[in-house]
Amino acid sequence: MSGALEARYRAALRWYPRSWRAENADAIVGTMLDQAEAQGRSTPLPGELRNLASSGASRRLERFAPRAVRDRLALIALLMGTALSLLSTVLAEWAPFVTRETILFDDGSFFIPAAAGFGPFLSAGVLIYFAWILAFCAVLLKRQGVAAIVVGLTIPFSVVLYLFRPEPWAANQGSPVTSLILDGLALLVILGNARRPLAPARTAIALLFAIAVVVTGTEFAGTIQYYSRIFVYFEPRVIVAVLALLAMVAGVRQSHAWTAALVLSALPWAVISLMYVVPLVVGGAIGASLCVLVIAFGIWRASRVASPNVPSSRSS
Amino acid sequence: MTELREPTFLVLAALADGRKHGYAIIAEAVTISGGRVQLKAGTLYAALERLESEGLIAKAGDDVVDGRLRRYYDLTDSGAALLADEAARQQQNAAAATQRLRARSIRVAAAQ
Repeated sequence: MSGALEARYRAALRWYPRSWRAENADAIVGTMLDQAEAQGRSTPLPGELRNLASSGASRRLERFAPRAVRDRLALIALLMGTALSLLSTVLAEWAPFVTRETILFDDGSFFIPAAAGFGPFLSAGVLIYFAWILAFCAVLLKRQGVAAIVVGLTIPFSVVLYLFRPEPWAANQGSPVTSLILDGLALLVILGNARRPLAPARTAIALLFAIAVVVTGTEFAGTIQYYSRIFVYFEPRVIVAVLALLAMVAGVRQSHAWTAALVLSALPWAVISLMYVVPLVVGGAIGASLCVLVIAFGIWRASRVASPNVPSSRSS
Repeated sequence: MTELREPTFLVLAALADGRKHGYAIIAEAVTISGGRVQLKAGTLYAALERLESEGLIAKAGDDVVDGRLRRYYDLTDSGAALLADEAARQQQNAAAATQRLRARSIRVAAAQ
C-alpha cells in the first residue's frame, strides 16, 4: 500500500529538475508519506499532486530564469517604462508642449491636437503612461502587488486603445509600436518583483538615470506620441549601449544576476535598433542571430546564479 | 522591515522551539494557525529552500525512520531575530485593533 503511494509521489516529482530530485526527493516523499499515514490515506490527494506539479514547474523555471535575475529584469523594465511614460506624458502628450510643427507624420503631414485631444492631452494613450507612473510609485511604497496589477492591466487596455484609436490615427498613421514596447516591458515587470533588487531611495535615483538615458537617445518632441512610430525620432542604440556598458561593469564585478538581467533587457532594444537601421530582411537575419547569441549568453549567466557553486553573495 | 507572508511566518514559528522534520513542521503550522493553514509538501519545501538560502534556517541532520528519510531543519539566529520582529509587529497591530474595538463598543453602548 505504502509502496504504491510512494511510487505515485515519486512519479509526480518528475515535474522537478533531476538535480533537485537527487537532493530532495527522499525527504519530500518521506514528509508526504508521514502526512498520508497521519490522515489514514493510501492514495495521494489531487491537491497534493497539483501542488507538486506547480512547485516543480516553477523550480524548473527557476533554473533558467532565477528569481534574482527576474527581479532585476523587472526593475530595469519598470525604470525604462516609467522613464518613457514620464517624458512622453510631459513632452509628447501634454497639449502645451505639443505644437503644429512638432506633430509631423512620416510623410510630412500633420494635424492639430485639438482634433484628437483627450482633455489637455493628445491621446488616451496617456492613461497607459499614468498607469506606469502609478506602478513606479507603488514599488517605491513597497506595494509590488499593486504595481504588478496596474502594469498588467495596461496590456489588455493597450489592445483596446489601439483597436479603437481615433482619427487621425485610425486610418494609416496609427502604429502599435509604443504599446508593444510597453506591453513587453509590462510582462517583464509582472514576471519578477521590482521591489527587491534596490531600496526605494536607490530605485528613485535609478529612475533619474533612466530618464537621462532616454533623453540622450531621443529627439523629444510631439512626434513621440502614443500612436506614432516613435523610433523615427528615437535612438534605441543609446539604450543598448548604456545597458551593455552596465552589463560589462556588472560582469567585471562578478554580479552575475545583474549581468544576466542587463544583457537580457538590452535584447529587445538591440533587435529594434537593427530592424530600424538596416533593411528588414537583413536586419531580421542579423537580429535573429543576435537574439540567439544574447539569449544563450543571458541564460549562461543566469545559470551561474542558479548554480550552487556560485556563492550567494555574488548574485547581488 | 519586510513583512512576512503567513506560510513563511508559520514555518519560522514552527521551528522556534527546536529542530523539526518536514511533516512535524506541517503539523505544527496547523496547530499554530488554529487549523486554518495546512501547508502542502511542495510549498513547504520551496519555502524551506528559500529560507535556507536567506540564512534564516539551516539543515539540522537527516534521520531514517521506518525506511523514510526525515530531514530536520532548525532556526538560525537571524531567523529567530526576524521572527521576533514580526511577532512584535503583529502583536502591536493586534493591540491597536483591540483597543479601537473596545472604544467602539463603549461608543455603541452609550448610543443605545
